[in-house]
Amino acid sequence: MSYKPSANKTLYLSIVVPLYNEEESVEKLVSRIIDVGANFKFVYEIILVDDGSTDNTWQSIEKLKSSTPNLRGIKLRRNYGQTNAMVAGFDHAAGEIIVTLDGDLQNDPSDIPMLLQKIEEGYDIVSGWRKDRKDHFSRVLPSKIANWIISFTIGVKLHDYGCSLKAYRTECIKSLKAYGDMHRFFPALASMTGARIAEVPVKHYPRKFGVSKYGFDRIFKVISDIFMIKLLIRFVSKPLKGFFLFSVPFLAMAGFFSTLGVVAYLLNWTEGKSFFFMLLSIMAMIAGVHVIFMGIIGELVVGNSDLKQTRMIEKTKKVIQKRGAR
Amino acid sequence: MNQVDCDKCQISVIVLLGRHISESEGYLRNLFEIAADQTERAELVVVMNNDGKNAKRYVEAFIDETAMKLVILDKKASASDCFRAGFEETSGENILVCGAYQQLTLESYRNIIQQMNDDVDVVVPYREERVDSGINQFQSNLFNRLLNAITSLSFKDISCNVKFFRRVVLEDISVYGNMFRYLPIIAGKYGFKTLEIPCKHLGEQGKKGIYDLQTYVARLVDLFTLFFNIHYARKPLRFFSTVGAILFISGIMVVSLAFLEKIFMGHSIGDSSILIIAMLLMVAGAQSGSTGLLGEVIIFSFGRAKTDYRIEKII
Repeated sequence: MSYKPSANKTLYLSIVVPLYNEEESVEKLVSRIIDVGANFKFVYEIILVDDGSTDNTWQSIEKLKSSTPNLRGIKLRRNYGQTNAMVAGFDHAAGEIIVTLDGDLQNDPSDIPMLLQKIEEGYDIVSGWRKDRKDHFSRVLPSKIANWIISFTIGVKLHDYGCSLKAYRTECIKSLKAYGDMHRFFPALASMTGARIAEVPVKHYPRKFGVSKYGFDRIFKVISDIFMIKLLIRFVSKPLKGFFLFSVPFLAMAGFFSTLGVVAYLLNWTEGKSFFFMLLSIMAMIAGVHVIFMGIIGELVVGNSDLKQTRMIEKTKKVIQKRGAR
Repeated sequence: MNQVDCDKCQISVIVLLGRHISESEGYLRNLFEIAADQTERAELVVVMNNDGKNAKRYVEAFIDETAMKLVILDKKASASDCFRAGFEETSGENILVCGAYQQLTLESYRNIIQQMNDDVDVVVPYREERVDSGINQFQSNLFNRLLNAITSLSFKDISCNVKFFRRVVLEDISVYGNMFRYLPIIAGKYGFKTLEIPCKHLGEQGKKGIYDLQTYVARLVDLFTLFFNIHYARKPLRFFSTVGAILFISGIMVVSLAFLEKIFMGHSIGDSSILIIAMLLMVAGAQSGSTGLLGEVIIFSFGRAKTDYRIEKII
């Protein structure tokens, strides 16, 4: 699906920037975006989302609004996290393409045309890759490990899931209806709907103002999220299959211990041992069967939901037929 | 008191009268007058979950005098049901929710209403100079501390039976079960601005001293429900996988211990009940993990359309 940005007045691009305590950066960031936007041959908007900042970020946005007609500001009631701030921006974006970037000046808006070029080539999501990353080693290493694990587990090979500089076709990202802490998994989630994903190296600068909002406590959360996303991608439309796979080790243990129990009985080991192995077998069986039952409930849940997993598939599908056929 | 056209009231007073009817006429009259003093458009909605004819007759006599609506639910209706039924009958921009009896001085009620402004969405009074028994105060303080610990908020007195809300807050929050009591906490977590003000305590009705076991169990369940809803309602796997991982890893450690005993001390694994303990731990871990997975499937299937964020302003 190729796209040619038209030079007419239709709003083509929405640039969504989540901000949390970035009062020193926001003015420079908007100025850089405007500099880059001066070369655009299409109409674009800037959406700044203040994610419950406790400094003067919102006041800066209000000040910028008076001089920047294509800027929109959204103030959230409290700090909801990056995913929700992005989703708030997506929900109010009117462009055909949405570009997200960090508000801390570590991304360079001059990379935006490169992302748009890739979208024009037919990709639905273009993800930035901070190839020459300017963060401290303590942030880069866990990030690299996390990226490797995500790519390996989920099967969508990207070097840098955590880079906020990304471009999306609006229909693609809006149909995801993201929640929780999913922002780093947008490409992975989109892949389940058949979206085409590309990655391009982008510039990266060291943080000049404010402090990083990331810490080591995120590692466990990310691992848990990877597990969840993997499950959703592979099994959300067929949960029983996923739960059945989860139950296999327990059913295998049940088989192993019941075999031991029978052998113990046949070989006349002490009576207690046979009983003991059968007891272990029953416990493992209970676990396995319980997990399968959970899967059955999962099937009921999915079967009764209005899960529109096919939404993107509907939009990306092609029907080839004989001319004139209906 | 004058009859007021309440198509769009400024202040609606909801009184959750429950089954209390004694001495309520003066209380209701005072509440209405306080609200009417602040705005020309005030209304009173009284909710009862008492199907006794006397109670109905008692309050019905009051209806002709004021802009009052009476909502009667059956005995099984919970506080949240009563609140929701009463709220549906209101039209006010601001809603004062009061309990079955007068807990604060009248001046305090007036003060609570006056505190509402553009920067406040919920006004929560806390009782100063409390007149209830020491043991009640101790229990109340302990409960508030526990609540603050699990919610990361700081409320001094969530149990006070008076609260004042902007209508938008109550329209946004869905209340079920026993959660009515914790509306300010939920509102705070949604991002609404809450203000706590000191109010003079007048008196308490109901049980004094130690409550029955059922009450303590109910409060503990409330605490857990709040904890889960606030931290994990949108990502259940994080909670269940943490519990599951702890149990499962414990099981594996116990098995390892049994094997170490076998290798170094020659103890037979087959004769050891330690293997049963290990298996039980692993079974429990697996069940917890699968519960979390099911939770994620439910949220992904039904909860995605719900927005987690609340917008304060758009320019």
